[in-house]
Amino acid sequence: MNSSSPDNIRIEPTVIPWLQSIRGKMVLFFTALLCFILLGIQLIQMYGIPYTNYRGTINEITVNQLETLTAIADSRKELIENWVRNRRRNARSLVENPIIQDLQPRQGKLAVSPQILEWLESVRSDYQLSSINLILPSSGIPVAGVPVLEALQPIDERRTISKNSEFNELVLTTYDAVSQSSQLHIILPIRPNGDPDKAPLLLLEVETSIDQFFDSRLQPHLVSLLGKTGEVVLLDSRKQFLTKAKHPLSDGSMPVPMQTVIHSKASELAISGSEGTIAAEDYRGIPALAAYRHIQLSPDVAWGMVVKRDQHEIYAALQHKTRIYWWFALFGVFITVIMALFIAGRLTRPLRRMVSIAISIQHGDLDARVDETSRGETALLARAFNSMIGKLQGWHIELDNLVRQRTEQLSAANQELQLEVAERTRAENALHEKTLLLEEEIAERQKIQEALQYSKLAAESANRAKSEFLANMSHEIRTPMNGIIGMTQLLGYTELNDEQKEYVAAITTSGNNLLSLINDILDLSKIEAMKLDIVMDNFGLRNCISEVVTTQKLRIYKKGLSVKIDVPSDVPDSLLGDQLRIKQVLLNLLGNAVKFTENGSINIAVTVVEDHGSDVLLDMSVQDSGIGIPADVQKRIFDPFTQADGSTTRNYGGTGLGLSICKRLAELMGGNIRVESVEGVGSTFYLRLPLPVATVSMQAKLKPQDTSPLWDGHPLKILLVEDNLINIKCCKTLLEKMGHHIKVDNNGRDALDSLKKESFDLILMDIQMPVMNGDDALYILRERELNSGTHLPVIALTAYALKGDKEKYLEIGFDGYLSKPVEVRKLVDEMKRVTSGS
Amino acid sequence: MQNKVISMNIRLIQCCFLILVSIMSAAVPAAATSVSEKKVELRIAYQPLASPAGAIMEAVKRDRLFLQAMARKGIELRFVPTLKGGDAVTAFRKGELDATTVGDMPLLELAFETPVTVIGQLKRNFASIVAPRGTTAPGLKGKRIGYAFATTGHYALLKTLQNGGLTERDVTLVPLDVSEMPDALLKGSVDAFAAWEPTPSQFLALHSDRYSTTGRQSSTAFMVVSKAYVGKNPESVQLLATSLARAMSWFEKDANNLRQAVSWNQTTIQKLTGKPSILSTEDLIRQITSDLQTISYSAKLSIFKDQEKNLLADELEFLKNIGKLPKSVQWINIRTSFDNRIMEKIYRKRSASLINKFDYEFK
Repeated sequence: MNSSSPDNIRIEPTVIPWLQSIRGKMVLFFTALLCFILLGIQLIQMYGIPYTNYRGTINEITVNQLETLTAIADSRKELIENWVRNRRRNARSLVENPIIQDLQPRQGKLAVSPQILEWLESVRSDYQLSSINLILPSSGIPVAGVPVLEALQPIDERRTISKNSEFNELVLTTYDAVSQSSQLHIILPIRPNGDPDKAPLLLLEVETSIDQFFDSRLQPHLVSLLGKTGEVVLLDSRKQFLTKAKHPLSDGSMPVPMQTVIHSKASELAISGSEGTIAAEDYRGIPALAAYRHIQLSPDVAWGMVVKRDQHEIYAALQHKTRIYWWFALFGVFITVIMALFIAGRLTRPLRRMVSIAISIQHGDLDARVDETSRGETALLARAFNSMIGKLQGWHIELDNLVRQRTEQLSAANQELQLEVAERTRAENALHEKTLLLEEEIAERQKIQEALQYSKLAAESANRAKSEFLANMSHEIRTPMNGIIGMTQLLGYTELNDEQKEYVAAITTSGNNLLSLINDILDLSKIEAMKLDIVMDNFGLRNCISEVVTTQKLRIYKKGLSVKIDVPSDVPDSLLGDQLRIKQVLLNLLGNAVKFTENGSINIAVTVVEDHGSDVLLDMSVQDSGIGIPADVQKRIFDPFTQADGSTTRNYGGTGLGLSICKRLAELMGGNIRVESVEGVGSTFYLRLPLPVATVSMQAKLKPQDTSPLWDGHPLKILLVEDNLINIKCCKTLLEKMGHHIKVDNNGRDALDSLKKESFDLILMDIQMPVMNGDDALYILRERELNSGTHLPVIALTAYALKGDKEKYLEIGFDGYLSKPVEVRKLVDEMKRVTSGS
Repeated sequence: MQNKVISMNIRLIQCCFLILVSIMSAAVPAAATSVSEKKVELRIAYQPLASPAGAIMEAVKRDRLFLQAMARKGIELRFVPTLKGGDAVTAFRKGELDATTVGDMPLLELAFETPVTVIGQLKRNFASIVAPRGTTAPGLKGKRIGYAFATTGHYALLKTLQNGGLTERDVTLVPLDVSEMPDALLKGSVDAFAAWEPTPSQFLALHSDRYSTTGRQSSTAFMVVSKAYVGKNPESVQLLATSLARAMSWFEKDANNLRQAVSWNQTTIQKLTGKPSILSTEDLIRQITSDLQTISYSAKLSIFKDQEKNLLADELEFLKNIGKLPKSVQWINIRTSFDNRIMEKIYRKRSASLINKFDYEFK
């Protein structure tokens, strides 16, 4: 890529003048706004809100205007009261004047000299009175006065005075139609010589123009105080205008003084004696603010005065300024909107350009770019935007190429995939067919396997039945064999001649052979029934071989053979293994060698095949120089009941089980057995066994030969429980020969009865008996002993000699165990052991 | 506090006096028969705190011609100053007084059920509602207003409230003696008070920068005598009326006379309230002078037939309309209480009545 490629575009940080940045502008804007608000708040706090708090301003203006009206009303009321008071003083001074008091009417006429009239005129002029009249009390008609009027109309009120002699003063208001003005009359009685007790002969009336007073004293400066609509209205007690009104009535006519009644709240209140201020319609029905006053001119005459101003004029300035305010507000809103539009336009112009460019890019124009000539963040944004577009353009091209390439690859792969799919479809079809065949075959094989399994189970069942049969047969044969051998042993302890001894020897040999045969059968049955266990224990190999040779020494001697034992020194002596089974194998091999060798020698040798330190692999061989074994027989010589040929059994005897048992035992011990033989030369049998090397010397375990007599202790009282008469005879005789006292019972029940009657030192108990078995009798015996706290030793004498039988009987409570046929030495040893603790 | 204690002491003295008078009048009716010629009393209550009646009554109290004439008739005079007309009306109803000065509203309350005779007018000016400047009648809504029940001030308040579109229920009424009102307003315990002259003028003379009158109402006062007493002692009533007319003539004769009466009045006020009058003597003289010009020197309501329905009649209707007086009260009941004949007789024979002859005690 060249330098202008999108990947190389970098946005360098640019220093933007602070005031030109959006941030600066916004800070400036909000600061100005905040300052404006704060300034406004401060101004409001200092000066209130002029002309903005409309209601407050209205109230303020109203209160101010009412105070102004009140002040004017009070001042005008005081003017009126002073004016009336002065007129009253004028009248009183005239009445108290002797000239006036000397005037006396005669016959309803009053002669007044011109000098007096001139004086009265001067007084009238000085006091600014309209007229001064002298009136007859009876008629109420003026009889003299200044200025001289052609005709004075009587006034009813004047006549009233004459009826109230106690009156001191009378105040009246009248309207002069000629001069069209209201007049105030103050009438005082003129009593002769001022005597208060005398009735007045004349009344003095001073008349003054209310309008004149009104115009000269009440109205001046009112415009400056109350504006164009401001007005003082005087009304009499009948609520009639006393003076000319400033404004026409609502019907356009002008009120006539002393004729037109005013209808307004303020005037009613004023006449009714109230004073105060009010906002109400005036006599024209136009809303006005007014102060109203009650002016009591005399005890019987009161005026009302209303000083008022139209509300529209009062609030005109405020309303005008309020309108201006609203116009300014509208103008401000207009300007604000224009400014907002302008600023928003300026601020968003780059963004709108970018939006336009973005839309172009959206439509595929990747060459479009934003103008970068602007300033501030927008310039940075434009550059970043252009950079982004450049990168986007590069990525777009790369992506386009990649897509094209991947599309081609995808097309090719798709074709391959289609072919593969077709191939796999075919293969799946074939596989399906084969699967069906296979399923059929599996079903067939399952049937065969089930048949085989059934056959195997049947065979195993038959085999177990066979083994059990053989075991039972062994038990049944051992029992009589026990009698035979036992009795033979007993016979050997009698005095016999040579011939008898020979017969006894023959019987013994035959018994032993028969027992050997039985043992072989038993072993084979155990092996096949998988009930023969290898018992690992320390033993000495050389001693083991020596004992095997010793057992056959008589036969070897009789046949004139020589025996050579070769156990090299590298063969470890102390080994760990089943000594009895090893002896059994070696004895069998040695017995066969002696049996089939008529002359020559027999070599027994042991060689180390492998030495692993902790264990060794040994070959123990028995070599004879006998008749040898044909090669074809060597393969089946280890099968059960197999000999070289039929003549072998006839010539040499045997059951044909020996080598078979040896092979099985060798295999059980992890080894094997094999034969090398040359017919007519001799045979060599090899027993190969892996044997662990014992860590404990066997010397300590070697027992010395027992040369003690059969029983050397005190005689025992023994209960023999046995149902077989021969065994009873044999065993009883043997024990009695040892000096013991024997009682015999034929079953467990009888034995338990005997135990109730007498005590014994020992019980020898058969297991399988009629009426009650030995184990059942023992159970009851032990139950009794739990109560008595005694313990009588009991030794089981049984033909059950299979593995585990001994442990089983010891566990259920027998103290000792002997398998039949009973060997005398074992019986004595067991009796000593169980009675040693008694 | 000291003023209040003094005021209470004075009330106590007044009550004791009234009780004493009652006991005496009730306990010895029979005995009084034998000595009735010598033991007759004229018990007159008046309000020193009312202008100009207070000053007029001070002159009457010192009118030797009146005092001697009464003494010659064996009538003993008792003048009982009270703080307001309501107190006098209460005592009057109980028969503890024979005569009293009373304002328009108390008069209406008294006259509609108690037989009285109005023998003369003592006042015609204004009772005012004083409140902070700028307070309009509608602006009194919700305000605490000090007032004295059943007085001309009370009537002015009711009228002003009505003019502002309000009633008593729109404000909080705080019962006060008129002498307590200025302090209450200054201390802020009330927002306004309604009182009769001269209290409003006295107060505004000192505090016009802060307070002004929100409304004023024409106020009148009269001398009222029990009808029974008038029947029994018409001459003594005549003497009392003469003394009233004499006092007013005395005031008219010379301004110094009025000044003297005002001085006596101020002394009595100070004794009664414990506080000196805050309005200067000259101010009071000016005010009384103006007021006297509007007083009818008789008990006539008006000499003109068509003006018989005057302000007092309007007031009666107003009080009936707002429930302050029974609807059954008719104007004729009130109007017949006014007896013009007493004053007419005096003014017809001024010389004989000696209304222009003056002899006052100045001690």
